[in-house]
Amino acid sequence: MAGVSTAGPTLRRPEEPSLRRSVTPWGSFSWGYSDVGADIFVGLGLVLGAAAGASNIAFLFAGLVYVCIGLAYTELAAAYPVAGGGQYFVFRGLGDIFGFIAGWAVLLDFTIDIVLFAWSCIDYLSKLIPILSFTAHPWVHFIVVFLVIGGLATLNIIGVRESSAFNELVSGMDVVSETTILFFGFLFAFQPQLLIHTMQTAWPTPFNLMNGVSLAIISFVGLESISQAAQETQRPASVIPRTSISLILTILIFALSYSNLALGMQPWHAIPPDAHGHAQALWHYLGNEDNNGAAVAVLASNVPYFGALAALYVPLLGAILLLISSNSGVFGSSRIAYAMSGTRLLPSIFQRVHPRFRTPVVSIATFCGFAIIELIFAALPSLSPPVHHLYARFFRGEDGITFLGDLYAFGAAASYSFVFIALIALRFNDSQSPRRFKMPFNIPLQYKGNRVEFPIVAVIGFLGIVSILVFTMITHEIGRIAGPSWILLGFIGYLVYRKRKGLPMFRSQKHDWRRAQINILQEAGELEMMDEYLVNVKRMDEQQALLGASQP
Amino acid sequence: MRSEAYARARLASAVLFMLLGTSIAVRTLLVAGLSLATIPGCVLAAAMIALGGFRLRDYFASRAAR
Repeated sequence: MAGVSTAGPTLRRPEEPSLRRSVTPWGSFSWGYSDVGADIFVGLGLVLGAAAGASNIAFLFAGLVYVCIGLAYTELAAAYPVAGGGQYFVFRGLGDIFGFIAGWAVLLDFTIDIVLFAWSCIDYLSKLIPILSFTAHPWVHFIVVFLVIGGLATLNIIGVRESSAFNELVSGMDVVSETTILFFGFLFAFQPQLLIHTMQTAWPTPFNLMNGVSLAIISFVGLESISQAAQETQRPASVIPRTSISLILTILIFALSYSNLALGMQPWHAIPPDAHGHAQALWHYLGNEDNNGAAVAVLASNVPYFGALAALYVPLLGAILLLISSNSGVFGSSRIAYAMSGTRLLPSIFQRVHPRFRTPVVSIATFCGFAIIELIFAALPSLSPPVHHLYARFFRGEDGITFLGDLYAFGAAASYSFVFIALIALRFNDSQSPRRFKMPFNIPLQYKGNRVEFPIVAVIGFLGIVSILVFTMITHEIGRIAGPSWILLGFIGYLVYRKRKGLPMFRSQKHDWRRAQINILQEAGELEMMDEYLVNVKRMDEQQALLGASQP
Repeated sequence: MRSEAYARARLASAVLFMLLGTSIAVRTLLVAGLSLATIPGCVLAAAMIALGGFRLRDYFASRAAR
């Protein structure tokens, strides 16, 4: 970590270092891609295991919700180019309490991100090194994942991050690789009649479809990276919308392509029979416990011709991308905790930096510690037979990676729900901030003498993500308990901290958002937008003065 | 990254995505016609064509700016 950033300029002390704006448009795209693009490597197998013949429908539903979320993040990141992401937008739009809850949900996601992607990274490597297989050698798998998390925490504490150039190289290679896989797959092996047949014969129960939809959203998590890139991009208001839309479409296409290919592709090699000796379809093979952690690699190896090469490098490329994503969880959680501490939503201990390495050591150690606890919960059923029976009795025998997926889906759905509300609130409360990009389909309204635009797509997105949150609560026994418990315990901690510090517990502190916005735009180099903002603010003040004078 | 080679690579991928999207839509519709089962394929095809169109527009905008 080169320098410690806070969520916004109002939060920064004068002596504090700020981030250098050196990210190019391609850098901005690859930053987002290395985070969100890795999700399909984890999500595909989980969704196939749950939603079977309707996996493409599950991805389609989650994908459409994701498009709405992506558009919301694009609008907000271009208007408020600061690294805090969803937490900052909610904090600014809805105040301290909701800012804390959204940030705490994002922190849950980041800690899960650390474990889930480290876990999946080892799953992909196990396709090249069989001793790392989770099903065959659970203890080896557990120890290696544990070491990966410990290693990432250490690297982040001593301040080593993967370079931007490395990120760009891996993302570029993965985009080319995934595009080639889907071209070969669709040109040489895709059979629409097989797709239709699979959808008709392997249609899941409504419960499993809901389960699949709730897991499919994990293929689209990581949009915080758009905001993080915004803080380090030159002229973010013009660059971010362009790169974000390209990113959103690319990720959507990969997710829909893989799910349709898995259901409608004639595999190049014969699929081995299942444990009972019965023949199984490709989608079933990809979704079983042996392969669901590395489904993209198995699918790629079954693409005609190109599969021979893909079998050799896709597990490695996937593992690297997943490792980067896991690292972004370590980095992101420490950054968000640091920012929340700066706005007095979390205790100041999370701002404590290492005297030598100048990194937020307490934040990194704490959230990596949470990640280790989650790893233990996820791995326990495979490591200990009594716990396995316990999980089978109370939690429908969910496996480790599904347990992590549950919590990931819960955290994402909870934080994204707040982002939509914050976007609507900011359209009303901060209509003077220039928006170079707006979500489409808006209804013009008058609010307190100002013209505001009510975003229809945000309402649709909100309904979509809330339904996914409900599906998660209905279908995941563990997510239903652990997710809300995380929020509740965090909220109790927040109230205790605010009471001790003599801060308002249920109200927000006073914030000078105008000064904050001017600083944000100035630091972003968006001077035209800053001038426009100042003109809008002056006009609004004049209007309100006139309104005040006309009232008795 | 705004080199001519990069712009041409994006142009080539745009054309490929549009062709692949059209092919998926046509093949899926020929097999099953307009039905609920063809929706995912058609949406995928539409997304591919949209990405291709987006990149084409980007390419021509950057050429016009030069």
